[in-house]
Amino acid sequence: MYALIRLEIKKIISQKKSWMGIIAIIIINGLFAIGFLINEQKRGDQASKVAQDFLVSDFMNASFFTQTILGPSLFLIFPMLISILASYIYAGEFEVGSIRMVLMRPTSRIQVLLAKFVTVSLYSIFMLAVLGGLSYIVGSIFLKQTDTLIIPGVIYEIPKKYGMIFEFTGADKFIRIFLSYFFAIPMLLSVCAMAIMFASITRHFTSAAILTTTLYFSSYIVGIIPFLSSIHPYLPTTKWYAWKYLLVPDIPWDMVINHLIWSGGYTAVFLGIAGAIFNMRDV
Amino acid sequence: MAILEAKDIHKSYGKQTVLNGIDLTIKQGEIFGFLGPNGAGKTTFIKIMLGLAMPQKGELQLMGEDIFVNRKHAIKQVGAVVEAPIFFDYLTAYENLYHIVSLSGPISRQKILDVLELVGLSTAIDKKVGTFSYGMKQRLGIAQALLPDTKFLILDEPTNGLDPHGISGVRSLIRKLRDELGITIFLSSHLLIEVEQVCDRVCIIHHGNKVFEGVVAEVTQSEQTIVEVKASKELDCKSWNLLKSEEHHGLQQLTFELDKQEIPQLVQSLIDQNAEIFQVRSEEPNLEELFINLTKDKHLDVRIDSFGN
Repeated sequence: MYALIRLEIKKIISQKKSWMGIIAIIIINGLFAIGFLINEQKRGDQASKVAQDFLVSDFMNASFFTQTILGPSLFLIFPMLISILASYIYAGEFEVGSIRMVLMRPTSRIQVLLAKFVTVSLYSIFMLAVLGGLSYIVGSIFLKQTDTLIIPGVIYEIPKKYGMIFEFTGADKFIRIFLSYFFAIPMLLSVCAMAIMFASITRHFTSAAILTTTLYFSSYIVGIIPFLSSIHPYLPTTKWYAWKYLLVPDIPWDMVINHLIWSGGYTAVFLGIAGAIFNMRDV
Repeated sequence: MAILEAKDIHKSYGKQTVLNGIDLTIKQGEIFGFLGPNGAGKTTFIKIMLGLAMPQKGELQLMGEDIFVNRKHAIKQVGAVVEAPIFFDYLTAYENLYHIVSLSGPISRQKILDVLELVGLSTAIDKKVGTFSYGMKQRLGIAQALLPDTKFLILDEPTNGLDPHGISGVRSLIRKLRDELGITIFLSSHLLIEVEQVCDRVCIIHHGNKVFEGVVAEVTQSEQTIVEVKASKELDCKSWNLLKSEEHHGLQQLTFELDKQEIPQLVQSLIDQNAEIFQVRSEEPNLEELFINLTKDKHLDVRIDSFGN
C-alpha cells in the first residue's frame, strides 16, 4: 500500500498539470486582493475618517481575507480541481492502459483504488494548506494585521439562528481559521470519492469529470435556492459543510458531527460502489 | 512441474464467445508459443492468466496457486508485457522501473541497472520515457517484466514495432533468459517464424478454440513431406499417396505426400513410365503451413487477414 501511494504521489508531483491547482489558488488570491483593494479605495472616498479607520483596521485584515477566501474556494474551485484530478489519475489510466501495468503486480484492486483516493486526499489537504498560507501572506501584504476577525455569517450561509456577525480575537481567531480549514477536509474527500466512483463507472476521464462536477454543482445550486427547500434534505451536498459551523462562537457540535457523519457516509458509499465495479470488471 | 495449468477456460463478451474451453499446460523451463490470428482470443487468455479478466467458467493454476483465489501470491514471480508497453512518460526509465517493481517488494538500484543493461537500455536510464522510441519502450517493458525475480515471463507480441535488429535482439534475449536464467516463457505472437525459431512447444487457437498443441520440432522436422512433380504426360501413381493431379501449361502437375526417403523411388517409378521430369520440388513441413491450414476460414473473416486466406 505504501509503495502504491508513493507511486501515485510521484506521478502527481512529476506532472506539470498537477500544479495547475496552485495557479488556481494564485488566481483567486489575486482577484480577492484586487477586490479588497478597490473596495477599500471606495470606502476611503465615501466614508468619514473614523468609519474608514474602523473598516480598514478592524474588518478588512489578513485574517478576514484568509477566512473569506475559503468559502468560494470550497464551494467552487476545490470541487472542480479535485474532480478533474481524481478523474484523471483513475479513469485516465484506464484510457491509456497504464493501470494494467500496476495491476500485473501483486496488488489488489482495492489497494490501487484506495491509494489513488489517499493520494488525491493528500493533494487536497496540501492545496488547502497552500490556500490558507498564501491568502494569509497576500492579506498581510495588502491589508493591515489587526487582532479582530469579523465574520458575517451570511457569506457562508450559516443559519441565522446562530447569529449574524461573529467576532474573534487573539489566539481564538487563528484557532477558528485553522478549525474551519481543517474541517473542510471531509467535504473534499467526499468530492474525491464521488469522482473516483464516476471514474470507475465510466473509465473515461472527461465523462467522469463532467459527471462529478455536474452532480456536485447542481446539488450545491439547488441547495441554495430557497423555494426548492423540500428537496434540500435529499441532496448529497446538503450536509458536507461541517467546516462553516466552526465559525459560530458557540460551536454547535451536534451540527458539526451530523455533517461529518453524512459526509463520511457518502465517501464510504461512493468508494464502495467504485470498488465493487472495479473488482467486477476486466482490465 | 507445471507453471501453468488451465482447464476448460470459457470467456465471452455478451453473445460473442472469445474463449471456448481452452486447456493448457506449460512446463517449467520451456518456451511456449501461443499462436493465433488477430482476434483469436490470445490477449484475453493472457489477461485471464494474470487475473486481469475473469472467465465465465474454468480453472487456472499459476505457479501452483489458484489465480482466482490467491492471485497476489500466484503472480509474485510472474512478469508480463500485455499488449503495448505503457509507461509513465513523464518519469525516467529508472523511476518507472523502481516505482512499478517496488509494488512487488523491495528492489535494489543495482538490480534495475543490471536488467536495463541486459535489455540494452543502459544509456537511457535517466531519460524520460516520453522520449523513447516504440522499440525502446518494448525493451523497457521486458525489463519491467523481468524484475524483481521473475520465474515465468509472459510476452504478448514482444517484437511488434521493432526493427530487424531489435527483433533479432529480442529473440536472442528470450533464448538467453531461458537457457541462462531458467525462466519459463510464454510467447504470444502471430509471427510464425518467431515461434518456430524460439519456442519448444506451440498452441494454436482460432476463434477461441484450441486447434493444435504440439512440439515445434515435431512439426518442422517431420519425415513427411509434400512433393510436387511436373511431368510430360499422365502417369500411373496408384502406389503413391497422390493428393492432387492437374494439368498446367501442357504439363502434368502432381502433388504427393510421402516420406522424405521415398522421393528417389518416386522419381525412379515416374522415369520407368518414360515420363520426362521437368521439376521435383519438396516442401519442408513448417508451422506456417500448419497454421494456415488450421486457421483457414471458409467464410471471409476480416479478423484473419484482408485477403480472406
